[in-house]
Amino acid sequence: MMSNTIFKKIDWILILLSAFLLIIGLMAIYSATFATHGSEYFSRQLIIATIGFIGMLMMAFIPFRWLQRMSFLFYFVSLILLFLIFLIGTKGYGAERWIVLAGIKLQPAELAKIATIMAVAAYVADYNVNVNRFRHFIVVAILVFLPMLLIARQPDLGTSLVFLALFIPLLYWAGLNWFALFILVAPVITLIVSFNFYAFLVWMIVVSAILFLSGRKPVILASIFAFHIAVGLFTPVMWNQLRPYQQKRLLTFANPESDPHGAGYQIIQSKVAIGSGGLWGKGYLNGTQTQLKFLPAQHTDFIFSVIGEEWGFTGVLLILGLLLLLLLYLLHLAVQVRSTFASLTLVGIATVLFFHIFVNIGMTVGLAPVTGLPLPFISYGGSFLAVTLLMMGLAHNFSANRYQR
Amino acid sequence: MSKSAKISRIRLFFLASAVVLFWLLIEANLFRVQILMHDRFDGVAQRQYEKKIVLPARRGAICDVNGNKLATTIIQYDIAADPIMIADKTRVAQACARSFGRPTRYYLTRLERKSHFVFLERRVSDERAGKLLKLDDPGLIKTPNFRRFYPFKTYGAHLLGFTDPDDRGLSGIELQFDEYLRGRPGEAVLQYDGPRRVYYDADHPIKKAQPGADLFLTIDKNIQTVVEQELADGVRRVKAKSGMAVVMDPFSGAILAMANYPEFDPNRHSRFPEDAKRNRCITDVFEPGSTMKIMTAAALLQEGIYNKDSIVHCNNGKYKVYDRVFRDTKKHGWLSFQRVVEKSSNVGMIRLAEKLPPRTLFRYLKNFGFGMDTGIGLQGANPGRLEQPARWSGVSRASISIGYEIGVTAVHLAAAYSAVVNGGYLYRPFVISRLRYPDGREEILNEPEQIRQVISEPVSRQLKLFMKGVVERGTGTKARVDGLTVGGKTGTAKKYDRKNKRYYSNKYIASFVGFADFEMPRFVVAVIIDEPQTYHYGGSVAAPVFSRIVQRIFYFEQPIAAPGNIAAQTEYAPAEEAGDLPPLNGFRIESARALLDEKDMDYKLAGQGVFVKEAVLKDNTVILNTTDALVQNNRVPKLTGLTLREALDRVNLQLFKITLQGQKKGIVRSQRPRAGTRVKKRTELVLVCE
Repeated sequence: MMSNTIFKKIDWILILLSAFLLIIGLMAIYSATFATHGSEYFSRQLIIATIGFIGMLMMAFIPFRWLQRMSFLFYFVSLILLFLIFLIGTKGYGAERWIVLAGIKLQPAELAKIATIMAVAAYVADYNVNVNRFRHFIVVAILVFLPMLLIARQPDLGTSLVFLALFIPLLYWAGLNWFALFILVAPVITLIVSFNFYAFLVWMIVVSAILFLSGRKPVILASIFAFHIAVGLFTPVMWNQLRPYQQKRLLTFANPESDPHGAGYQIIQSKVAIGSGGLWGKGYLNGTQTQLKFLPAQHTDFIFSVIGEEWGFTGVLLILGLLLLLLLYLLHLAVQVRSTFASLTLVGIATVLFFHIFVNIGMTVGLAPVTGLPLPFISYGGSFLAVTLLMMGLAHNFSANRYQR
Repeated sequence: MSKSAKISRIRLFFLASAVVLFWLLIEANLFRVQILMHDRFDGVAQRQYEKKIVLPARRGAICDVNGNKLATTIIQYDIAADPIMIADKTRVAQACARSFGRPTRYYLTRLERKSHFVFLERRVSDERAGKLLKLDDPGLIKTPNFRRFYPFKTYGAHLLGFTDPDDRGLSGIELQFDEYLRGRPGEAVLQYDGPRRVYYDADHPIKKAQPGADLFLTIDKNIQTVVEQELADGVRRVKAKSGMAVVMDPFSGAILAMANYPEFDPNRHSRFPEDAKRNRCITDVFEPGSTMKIMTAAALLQEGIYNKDSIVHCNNGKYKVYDRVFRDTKKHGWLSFQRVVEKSSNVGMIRLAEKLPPRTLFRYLKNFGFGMDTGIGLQGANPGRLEQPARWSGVSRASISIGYEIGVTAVHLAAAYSAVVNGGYLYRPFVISRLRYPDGREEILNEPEQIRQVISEPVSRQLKLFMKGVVERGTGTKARVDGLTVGGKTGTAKKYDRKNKRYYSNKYIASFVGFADFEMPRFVVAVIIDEPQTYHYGGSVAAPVFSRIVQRIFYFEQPIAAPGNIAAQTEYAPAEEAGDLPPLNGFRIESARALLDEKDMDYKLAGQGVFVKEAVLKDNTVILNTTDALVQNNRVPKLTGLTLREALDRVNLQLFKITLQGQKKGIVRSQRPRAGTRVKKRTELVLVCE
């Protein structure tokens, strides 16, 4: 029974969650743009969403093995595209991010996200590597940091942070041990607490205790501890070396509301939009912040504020609920699938989506810096939507082939 | 991934926990922003996209009896700039310099400032701002404002009062009728959007401003003009401290002019001392002196105690009542009652009044309206002062009979004299006539109101004769008016020194109250001059002012027929042919009606005007053709060949200052400027008579 097998292959949870989110996104884009551009943006997004959605459905039927084998090729193509940006890139928002191939505008950085995930997954799966071994760990690090540095050079700080965010969960899922994880994460915390002496003191005691309990060689422990002390001592010195405007730029990045005319203006308008939406919202197409264009980048970065204003807390709860379900379902799949490659890719996909969702929404309520990361499924933007649906297609494929090794 | 499924599950649990934790963090934050802080953000959203602006209401005009605007509202512009937005600084600066007369450099330095807003020139008229209003520069800001404007400047200023910069009444009629004049400001809700464009919000229709009501006075701009000019002249001539003058229509109580000196300009009221802003005619109480003798005479005649020929010995100018010695300026012997009034003998009047019981004198004075509110209905009107007879001293009757120990205002005097000359009827003085609301509805606030008859008509006529005598051969000869029979009474009162409780020997209040003309009084004019220096007698200080005023206003009211109305006149037989119709042409309607009522004649009004243009008799009914105003003309009329009086009749005195050369009467032989010359501002018109 042909049709029976087809239906069995379709993962309805994935399909329905994606479909709901796409519809909500299209509605929000229409509301954010119809006043000035009519249905222009809406139509473009609709076309990409439709094609992407069909593609996502179809991807369930691609032979599973091909995907894993194609991973490195895919990765190299993205790297080449990232290089190409420096040669034939198109300026958008002042940074070189676009590349035009065969009449289609592409953002190679978006493609690089999934390509990097798949490459790491394929590397860990194919050679049965142990990331706890230094050699293998370094290969994974290079795989992640190469595209990241290229993107950071564009410069696109927000997108390059996505790669940084990918690094630890992928390693964690690949089986990195606790001690290594600690060594990776701890210096970041040291950096932050070094501005307050007492916080630094308490943190150093915690670090010492963990190191002592780990039971490793004293030489290694001592050098790690010395490294932390050095970070703690030098960070304030480095900070004072910075020019005031550089300090201000960093502070604004951390706390946008300290700059009410620049980045803070966007945050304030966004918070006003969301806050004024209240419990039930102002009604679809009735948000004053949206329709009178107080909101910056309202169809892209701040689309969530449009929903917050017009649909209120209830609408926001619905979308966040759907997104949470999707993330948890992807993690669930990551445990379900037999293939290491599929499992790691799913965690990578969940991480990318998670990072985008929480940085974007966090940004609209002033919890996260303004980085220009779009909201998956919802924000206007062809490249990222296509990549999102590609990732969903992969998940769909893995779901359909969950029993393959 | 050769690890067991168990480890995978632990790791899954950690990852899922991290996701849920972040999810809860975001959710909590959204709850805080959307639910807990909703009101605050909602307010911010409202404020930034909606802005309520007040649309100021036009303040109602204050008009004279003919509808001439004495206080009006004009649009003025504040010219400002956003220096950063200005495209061509030199051009703007040069345009300002041309229009406002300051050096170009002045404007350039202002335009060089690093700010978003500088005033270039404030409160400039439409005309002066005209060129700049046309100048199109993105940084130029032109804000129209309403502003109160008093086109006749100082004229009538004390009565009108003035407003603050926000057009709220601060004094005078502006304050008292502020509620009506102010109107109701409107409101518009503007919508802003992110890029700061502005729209009118369709959901909040513009609430239009409701303009204030126009207030009509009984004041006649032309008469007011004459009175202001002559009073100021008269005060300056004798170097007096201050002066006041009131012109009243004796048959209605309507006040036609009310002037005070020193003057002030309500357009620039802050530059004048407070002392110059008081409406002395209603607020300042003084002892009038001899002008009160007419009231004593009225009581004596009405009570039948004396007749005009009764004689009294004036004791050679010195008479003692208890401890007070009253003096005359001249030593008189035997004088008739009429001569006592004409010569203004204090002793004579005191001796005559000795037959008058204090209560009777008091009653008459009260009946004439003294010592009580005149009912003029203006804020700050002083009721004057007159003690109860029970509290009078031995000399009080003597003092009061010659105008001391009694406090009056100029309006009191004018109202009482009106009663004396109009046949004995006291009318309530009034100056506020009616309101006209923006929808055209009118509300009459005051109408002529007869309060009581104080004296009989024969007594009134006798008193008029007394006053005619004063002017013809008594103390008031300087009040004579060429070609008119007028009457009046002088007054010269010593001022009371409150500190030392005695009268100053060298400070006087000189007054003259008179009427014109004798047969048919149309005006009662009271002129009071405070502390004249060069002369101090009412006859030499105030009487000339009276004379000049009457001379100039008497023929005003004969309107020049508007060209279109001439044909209609011939339909009726001229009044003079039809019998004993009094000459009503040029009378105010109220006066004409009062007269006709008195003569028991039926009448009809034709037209909506306020003056009688012509009165004709038809089927035993008087038809009063009315007209509105003098025809406005800003060209010099042809005056040569006319008699001087006819010539003055044709001239708009608001526009021309008349200078006479040669004789002061007769036929005008030549004039400068020539007939037909267009004039823009008040111009001197020289007439040479022969």
